[in-house]
Amino acid sequence: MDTKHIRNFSIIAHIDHGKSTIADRIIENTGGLSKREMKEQVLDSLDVERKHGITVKAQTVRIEYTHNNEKYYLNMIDTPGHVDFGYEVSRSLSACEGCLLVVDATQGVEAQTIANAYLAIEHNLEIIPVINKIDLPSADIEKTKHEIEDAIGIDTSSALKVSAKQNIGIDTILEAIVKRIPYPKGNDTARLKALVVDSWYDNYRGVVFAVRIFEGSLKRGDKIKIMSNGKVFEVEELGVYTPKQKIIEKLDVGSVGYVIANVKNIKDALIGDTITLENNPSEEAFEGFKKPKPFVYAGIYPTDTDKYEDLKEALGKLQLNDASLTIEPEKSDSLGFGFRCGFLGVLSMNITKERIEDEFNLDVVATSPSVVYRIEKTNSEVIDIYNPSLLPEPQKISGIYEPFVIVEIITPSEFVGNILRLLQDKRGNQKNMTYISQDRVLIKYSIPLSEVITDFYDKLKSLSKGYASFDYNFEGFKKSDLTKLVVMINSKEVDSFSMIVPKEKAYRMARDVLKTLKKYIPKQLFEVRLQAKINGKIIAKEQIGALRKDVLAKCYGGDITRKRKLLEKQKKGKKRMKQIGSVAVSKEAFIKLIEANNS
Amino acid sequence: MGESVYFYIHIPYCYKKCPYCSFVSYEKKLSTVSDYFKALQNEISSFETDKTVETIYFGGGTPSLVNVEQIDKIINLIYKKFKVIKLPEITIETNPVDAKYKFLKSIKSIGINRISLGVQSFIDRKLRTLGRIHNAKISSESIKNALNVGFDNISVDLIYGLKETPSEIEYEINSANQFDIRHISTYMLSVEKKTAFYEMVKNGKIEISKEDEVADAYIYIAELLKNRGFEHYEISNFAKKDFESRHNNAYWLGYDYRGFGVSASSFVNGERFSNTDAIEDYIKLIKNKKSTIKHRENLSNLKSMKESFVLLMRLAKGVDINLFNKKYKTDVERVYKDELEHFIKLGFIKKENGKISLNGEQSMVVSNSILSDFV
Ligand SMILES: Nc1nc2c(ncn2[C@@H]2O[C@H](COP(=O)(O)OP(=O)(O)OP(=O)(O)O)[C@@H](O)[C@H]2O)c(=O)[nH]1
Ligand code: SF4
Ligand SMILES: [Mg+2]
Repeated sequence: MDTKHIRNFSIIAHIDHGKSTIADRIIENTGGLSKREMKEQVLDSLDVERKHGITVKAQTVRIEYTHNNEKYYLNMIDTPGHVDFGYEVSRSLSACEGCLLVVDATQGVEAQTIANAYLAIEHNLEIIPVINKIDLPSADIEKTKHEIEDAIGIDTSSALKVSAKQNIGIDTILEAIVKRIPYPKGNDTARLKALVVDSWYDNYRGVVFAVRIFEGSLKRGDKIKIMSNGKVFEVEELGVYTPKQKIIEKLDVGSVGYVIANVKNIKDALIGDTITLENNPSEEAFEGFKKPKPFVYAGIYPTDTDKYEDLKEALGKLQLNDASLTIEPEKSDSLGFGFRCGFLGVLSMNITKERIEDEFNLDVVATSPSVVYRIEKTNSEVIDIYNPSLLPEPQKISGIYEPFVIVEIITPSEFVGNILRLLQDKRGNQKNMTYISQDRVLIKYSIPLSEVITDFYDKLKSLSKGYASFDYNFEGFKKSDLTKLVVMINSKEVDSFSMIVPKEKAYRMARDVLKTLKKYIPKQLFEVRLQAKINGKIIAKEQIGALRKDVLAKCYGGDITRKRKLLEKQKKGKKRMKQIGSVAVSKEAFIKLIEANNS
Repeated sequence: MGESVYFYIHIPYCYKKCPYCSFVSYEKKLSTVSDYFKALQNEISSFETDKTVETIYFGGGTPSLVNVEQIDKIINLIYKKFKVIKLPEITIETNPVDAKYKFLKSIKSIGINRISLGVQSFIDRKLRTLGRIHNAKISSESIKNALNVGFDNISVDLIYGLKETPSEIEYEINSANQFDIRHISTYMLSVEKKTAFYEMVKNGKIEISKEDEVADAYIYIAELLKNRGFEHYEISNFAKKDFESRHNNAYWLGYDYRGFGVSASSFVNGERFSNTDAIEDYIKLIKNKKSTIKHRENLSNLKSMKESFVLLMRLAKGVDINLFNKKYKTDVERVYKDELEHFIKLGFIKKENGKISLNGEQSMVVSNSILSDFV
């Protein structure tokens, strides 16, 4: 197929504005799947995606579309909307010439709308604004248009008005894709230059790459060369998803598809690599993508300490398909052997944890997430620490630096006061504040990342009745006045509960942390004392009285089975706990250490 | 032990359903009594064993509410069909209102030699809250009558958990102990879902003891009874020397027992099973010569060993390490190494004279939390 009949586009939007549902309708209307085969958000194939109703991984589908009696191949990439997955969006955009910028007409422009739109502008894409959910009574098309113009600065005179739910306006989308998005440039006979936009590990086939062919073409049997390391592989299979997997003989210039080439190690061809032909190589490679840097770190430990190797294997497998996940073995006094893992954000951390539990059937404990701290020691050495319990002795520290981010918040103006107070409380510094429409405001603040990853999102949502949205970008390390908060259970320090906190908030946080712990530590057969200290000084205490009685119900007519089942149930409950010394602690305690206390 | 079997017969009728009761008993189904007894006889007749019957226990419900002849027929049937030991323990649970001279006389004449009186309390306030149909005076009289008729093996049920003061507890124990009774079962009031009580407690209509109060009550009761010559031989049971309930011990010691009647549980040749919970189904199934068993359970060796350990631990004398190891071809101290270490260190389990047991009332009162580590 010549490139004039190919279009490559992504669907981008703020979370939940309807990207995956639009993708559904496009697939359905062009006959990619029959009605019987359709289900909601059909491209969200991971269990976690279906469970949470969100997209985590970008998915590519080739749509066949006939317009004016000419057949087109439209390569569509559905992307995630959540702030944690911006990297995924950015990669998808580099395979495209255009995108649909979807905006929910009942919500208007939100933080990730802006963030993703800017990514599209950076990539020089043709942006087609799509106003979705016009079926809803609260849809305000005009206001949404104005916000798009004011906040992003793109023309909305030809914005499309659709309802993905009710299949209204989908045809206008298809037509606009063909008419407005430029066809891919590139020469079929030039030397092959293909960009790896995604790669994942398939248990049966080895590594599968999603590629975008920018120059030349690729056939089965071709010997390909990975430009970063010179390794050569033979192409075994080429194909596209329609969304059913469909094997094809050749990937033409301008198109997007997958490649299987007997690559066993995913590190041999990382996302962002350039693929060319061995016998007629391209001269230069693409710049590639910056490796995504984890923002938050947490310890992940098997609840059953015997399962360390299983956890290692599970994390290894997940890492194959998640370039952003970092894994370092570590040991904790309280939790035994486990891993310090780096994630793009708290959502991706939770998702990773869930996948370990669901897909690998392992029970794990995750510690409370923390950021990287940069420590300047008195001997002028500088170290980064990923685990708060490893903070050096105070007398060896000359300064602690922590990562700051720029947050961008969009909120109805009535909540601005609340939100500014929250940002102040979170140690933020105002950068900018503008109205994007009469009653909606864009606030920019510089704030420590550690404040964002705890309960910031929950508080923002509750202070704005759910209306505010936010996005953040790394700003840099800044010096802060921080100290280590140590938690003790029955006088023993619990390293996995240590955290680094701003001095000004230490007392309050110590009290909150112990209150939270108290909630997650059930009564034991003995009294449990909780203490929090900074610099060797106890600053908060709590106590959990000993369990006094069980129900000694009548064992009636020899119903031993019932009796035993009760005990077994109780035992199961205990198994879900983590034993710290002789104290059983509910696993939630670790991760919810810094809970949204309504302080 | 291999040669013995213990019989339980369930009589699922009551005068009036007590608001806290979650047992299988019905107040408005008396019309089914004669059919039920026919079915019971059928079930008993169709059970085959060459083991010797050690005990017969009529439990409920309220077995004292049915005609004594019905009970008599059952006992006769058992004697006719099975080998019965020379001095069996034959118990009937009796509601204090039924414990009148004439009734007691006739049950004694049919061979019943142990009577378990559902006294529950000697305090009117408690009996009223519990919705019992008798009062404190009847509680005392029922014991007096049983003694007068000549029963020497009387057990009394007492319930606690209704905000008793220490002097009220003392009053309960002294009221029972003024009579020459041999056995006391104590029950912690447990508020089960799906009972009328549950709602009343939830709505604050009834106040029940708090965790600490119940624990203190339990420990205090044990202390008082021990001072009065009772042995605390099982978590909820106290007895004078030689008057432990042979029937109940069979449950803990893992002997074969066979329960007849609706919802009754059995343990025969290593298999646990129990009958359907619904009277009508039970009667109908028997009529149609179908099995009444609703649940069956065959435990693996390991599981039944663990179950046996947990059951034995309910007894004050606990687990005899040598006997246990021989019976289960195991090394119990190795199987439970971590658990035993943990609880011995905390002082909840003791190992003494080759026996492992719960360490006194402080430990019995939290026995579920301990024993759940052993199942
Ligand atoms: N009423 C109405 N609801 C819609 C429409 N489009 C999508 N929705 C609903 O909005 C919710 C979110 O839709 P998705 O398609 O999962 O949104 P998304 O943008 O893919 O979300 P992420 O992938 O998590 O960023 C779902 O409950 C959809 O059913 C529409 O046109 N009208
Ligand atoms: S008398 Fe006993 S079995 Fe009958 S309802 Fe009352 S507590 Fe339940
Ligand atoms: Mg989606």
